[in-house]
Amino acid sequence: MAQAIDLAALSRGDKAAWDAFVRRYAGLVTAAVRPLARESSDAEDLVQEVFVRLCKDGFRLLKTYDPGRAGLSTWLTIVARSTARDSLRRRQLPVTPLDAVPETFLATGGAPPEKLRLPEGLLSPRQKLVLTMLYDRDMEVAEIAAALGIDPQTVRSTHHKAMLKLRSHFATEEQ
Amino acid sequence: MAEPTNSPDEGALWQRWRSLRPAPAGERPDAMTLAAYVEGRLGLAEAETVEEWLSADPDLAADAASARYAALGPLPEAADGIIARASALVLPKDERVVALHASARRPSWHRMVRWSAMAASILVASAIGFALGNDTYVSLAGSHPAAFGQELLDPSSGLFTAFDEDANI
Repeated sequence: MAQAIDLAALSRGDKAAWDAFVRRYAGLVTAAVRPLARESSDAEDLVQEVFVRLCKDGFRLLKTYDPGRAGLSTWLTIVARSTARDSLRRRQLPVTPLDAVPETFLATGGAPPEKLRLPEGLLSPRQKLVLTMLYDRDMEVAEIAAALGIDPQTVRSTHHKAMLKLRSHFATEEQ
Repeated sequence: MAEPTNSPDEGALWQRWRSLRPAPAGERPDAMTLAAYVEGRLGLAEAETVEEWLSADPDLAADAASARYAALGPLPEAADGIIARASALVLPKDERVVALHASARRPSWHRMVRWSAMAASILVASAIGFALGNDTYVSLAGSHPAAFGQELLDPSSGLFTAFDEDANI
């Protein structure tokens, strides 16, 4: 049976409230940071860092959570991933030697920088986001729909309209 | 509506646009704002601002997607070791270390005893010192303590008597 978390007691540092919070959300935090970790031991350390961040300085970060704006699971997932990335950056993970990178990855492109200007609001933020997910992150329509919480048909429609705008704009500029 | 083909032509068009667009305005959305966006609780203007950032920041977009997936299913379980380690971060209140203050209060009788002992030590030392000095005086003076006292006060009468010209040296 789900146990409600007493946020007020948690922020005061109540031991029982903290233990209940950890038991309930440690799995969520683990699932959030695991994709960012290189090994399972890294994932465990990252989980611990998340909980350290939540309780340090008198539970300062936890006190910023506002239940009226979003659910605790949603907020906690975002905090966990952000903390994990910050931690990994601080550890300065080894980088790939330049010689190991294929030359095609190093290509900077021969085209000179464009002097064209984009009109304000050519693409809506939603259109930009859909195109980013499609072309930069190679996501499928169904994945994008799930990620944005919209219908797959809406994704296709958004993509289509955005492309029409881009073709029209660049065709006009080139004339 | 046709499925996006992700054709090289469309991809190139997108990349061309990307190279020209400016950076998002305003501050990067914090965790609370991003969480509210994921749950559809932001107004249109605020949501669009967040989406500007999501299209420019892959990490932020991945966080939003991850949070959306997490909210859909039941909460997963964690290993006992992970739970124990995190639980240990907060101790019960009676086990927490409390810094001792240097000026901790002591009972008033304790201070009184301490000062009394010090005063008594001074008195005893003074008395012993006086007694020793007095004994020394008496033993040196012999049967004529008054004459010895005169010698001490006016040593010249005794000193030059010993070194008089008529005296046999």
